[in-house]
Amino acid sequence: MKKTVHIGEFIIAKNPAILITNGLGSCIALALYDKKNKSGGLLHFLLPDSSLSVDVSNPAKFADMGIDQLVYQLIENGSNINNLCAKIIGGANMFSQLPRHALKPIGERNIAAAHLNLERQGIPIISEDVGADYGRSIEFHLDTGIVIVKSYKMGKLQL
Amino acid sequence: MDITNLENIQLDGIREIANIGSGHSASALSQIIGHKVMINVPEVKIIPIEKISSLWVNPKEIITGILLDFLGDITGKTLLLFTKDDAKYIIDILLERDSNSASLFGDMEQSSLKEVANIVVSAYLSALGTFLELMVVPSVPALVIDDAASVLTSAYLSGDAENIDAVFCIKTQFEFIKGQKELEGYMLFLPDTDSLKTILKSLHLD
Repeated sequence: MKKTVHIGEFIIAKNPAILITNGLGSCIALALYDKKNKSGGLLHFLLPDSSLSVDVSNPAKFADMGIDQLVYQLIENGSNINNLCAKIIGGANMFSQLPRHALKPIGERNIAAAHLNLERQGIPIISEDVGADYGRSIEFHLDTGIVIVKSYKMGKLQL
Repeated sequence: MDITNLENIQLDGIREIANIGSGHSASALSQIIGHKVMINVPEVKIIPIEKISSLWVNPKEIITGILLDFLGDITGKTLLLFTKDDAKYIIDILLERDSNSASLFGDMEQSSLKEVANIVVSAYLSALGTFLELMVVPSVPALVIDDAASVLTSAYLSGDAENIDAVFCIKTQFEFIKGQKELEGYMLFLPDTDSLKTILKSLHLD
């Protein structure tokens, strides 16, 4: 009943289930929850946009394709898009001590991409724990929609 | 250039220069800590970006990662990794205190560890640069203490990563023994794709 979502993957499930993902540095975990069906999905994406890559065989690596796929699969499995709400976690800038590069840090770009793509789908973000400079791991409980965020630096947090 | 499609002779050449670099950094590390340091034959790893956390055995383990960018004729990143305990052990040697001292990573401890990385990485890069007749200089180090998976993915994606499908990495393992305890650390050399071309050209393997 506990299932682990690896980097560049998503899993959809129904209550009773707990979806877990670890090692969110600059990556983002998106937990989409359907309160009515007590179902949902968890996506762990790495990159803000599929246009950055030549190889797009794995949509779950990217915010844009990953979110589209996840939403599509949830609808296929009986969710109404109007019942979905989102929580996003991650998007850290772990090496903030290094000099800035030409582009914004990947974590920041991932956060912006999550917002943009969810807005495009019309799905509200009801809570988030993003940014800062540390890694996070999460547990997404499908009975309640609660997300537990764990980090070495900050301990436990409930979203 | 398709990094997933390099020929064996090219990989051998790259492994050889990594060996030269590693040898120099092992002897630098050995001088700092006053122990004999052994290295393995560097491994060339070409892996999809989503598998990058597999470079550390247990991705959930809390580790110290010191990241240095390098610049000049070639560009890329180096990442020096130790378990938190082993990092603390090295710091204790450096600060000449017994190993039961406070386990906090304060400013002093962090800058000691960054200095270790600076010396080890500079030795690696300067040996590489001399051999290849290329200019290579390291940036200031940045240190994080966090779970291995977060450290590895974020390190690779920091800055303006240009090839984000596959990771080209040369991994060297350091080992040294103190009493009953075996300590190990890893150094990852992550050249940008264009720089890999430059390296192969210098080796006449392009």
